[in-house]
Amino acid sequence: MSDAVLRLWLKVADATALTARETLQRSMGYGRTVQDVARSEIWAFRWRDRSRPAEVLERLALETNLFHNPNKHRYEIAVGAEHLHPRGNVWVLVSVPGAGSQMGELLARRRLVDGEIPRVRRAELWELTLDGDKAARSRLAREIAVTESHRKGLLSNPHLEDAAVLTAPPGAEEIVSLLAEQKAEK
Amino acid sequence: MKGTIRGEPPPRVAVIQLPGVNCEYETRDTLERAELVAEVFRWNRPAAELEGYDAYVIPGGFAYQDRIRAGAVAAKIPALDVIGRGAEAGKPVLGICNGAQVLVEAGLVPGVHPGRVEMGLGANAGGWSGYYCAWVHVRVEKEGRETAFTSRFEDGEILPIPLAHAQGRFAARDRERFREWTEAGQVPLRYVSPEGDADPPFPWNPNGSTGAAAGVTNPRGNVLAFMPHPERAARLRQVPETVAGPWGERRREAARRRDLLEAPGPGFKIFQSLSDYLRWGAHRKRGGRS
Repeated sequence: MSDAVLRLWLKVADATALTARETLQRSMGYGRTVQDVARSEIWAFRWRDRSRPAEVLERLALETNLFHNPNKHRYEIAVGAEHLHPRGNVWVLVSVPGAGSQMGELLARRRLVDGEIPRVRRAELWELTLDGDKAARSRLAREIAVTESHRKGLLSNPHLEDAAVLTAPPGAEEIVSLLAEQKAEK
Repeated sequence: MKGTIRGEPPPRVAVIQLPGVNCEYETRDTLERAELVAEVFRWNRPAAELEGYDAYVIPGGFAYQDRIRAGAVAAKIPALDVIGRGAEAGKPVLGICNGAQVLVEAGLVPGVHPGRVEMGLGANAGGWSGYYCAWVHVRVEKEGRETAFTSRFEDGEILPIPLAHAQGRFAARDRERFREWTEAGQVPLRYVSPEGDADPPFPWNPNGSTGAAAGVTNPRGNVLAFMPHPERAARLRQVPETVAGPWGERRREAARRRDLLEAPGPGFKIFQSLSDYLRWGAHRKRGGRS
């Protein structure tokens, strides 16, 4: 498999991430434990066999307006076992099953990829800076990740989305595999 | 003066003005036309002041700009704690469009276990993705029970009504639970074709909603999450002349008789039912469960 991930984030302050931080700190009582919240957009690509996938993503980012707007985004690309460099010390990958799946066909129709059409998925990566040791951060991130009740959880609704907590900066293969394991559409 | 019984003060309804909603004033005006005292209540007033109201309406719009997820942030604010307690005490709560999303994220609907999030309102699917704005048809299906919002309707009555949203698909991870809620009468408003066909495809089911659900209540029937906009169908003049069925005929007739244009429209009965519920508990007299 050839796995590659394009991660994009805003150059300016991300109002959604700031709102999430304020909600966690002020409305949900995490004032002492949630120090910061950031967010980025993930596009995950999988080919059965593709040489130099990073070059393909670099070209898609720079030469098309489908993913990256140079006026407002920064981006990074990771391939295979390479890991991304998001902010924070624990991460939550939230995805709507099937999101982004039409992108592969679109790229092929527009002749933006040659040869094999990649399997594409889109997700959101929440980058949390939490207080405590690794185990405590992981526990807290799980609590925040999935909305179980009016009081508990914020970042995903389990009836609509999947959420995975990652305790180390994720690699491209890990992200692509997680998104490939999504349950049937909710 | 608004009508009362036994000299009691008229019922007061708070229309919650969350940052980003955009239908609060027409919702308030429609409640006033239904002879209720309605007040736009800013979200950042002390939440305890909400306790003095008899009912709550969360209007449509884009609360908190739909950040994170439609309704997700608003569901966490202190006002929703008070509204949740009011709902448990039997006060009526109506969420329209974005308000419905807030009620679902706050666990007030379906509310089998109040406070627990038991469903979601997902992105439109089943023929259309993204924002969709149209008039659709909704049938009232009472399943032998009344709610605080449906007592003025006949069972099986079809009303044309507008909607405008991008995330209106009622969905639960466990579809069996959704079937149970439907059988329990918690889905009293469902999308149908203009002829009344159940479980219709797009465009009659405009968002792929499970069971063609347009409105879902809590078990007691005093909390309703409704995706269409009844306040935009509260006067006959708001109904397009092109709408099929008796409401369309009435509207075309009114085009020649302008005095009829201000007559009640199909969505007004939701507010009249709420008014009845608050004044006389009409739904209880008519065999409701609560």
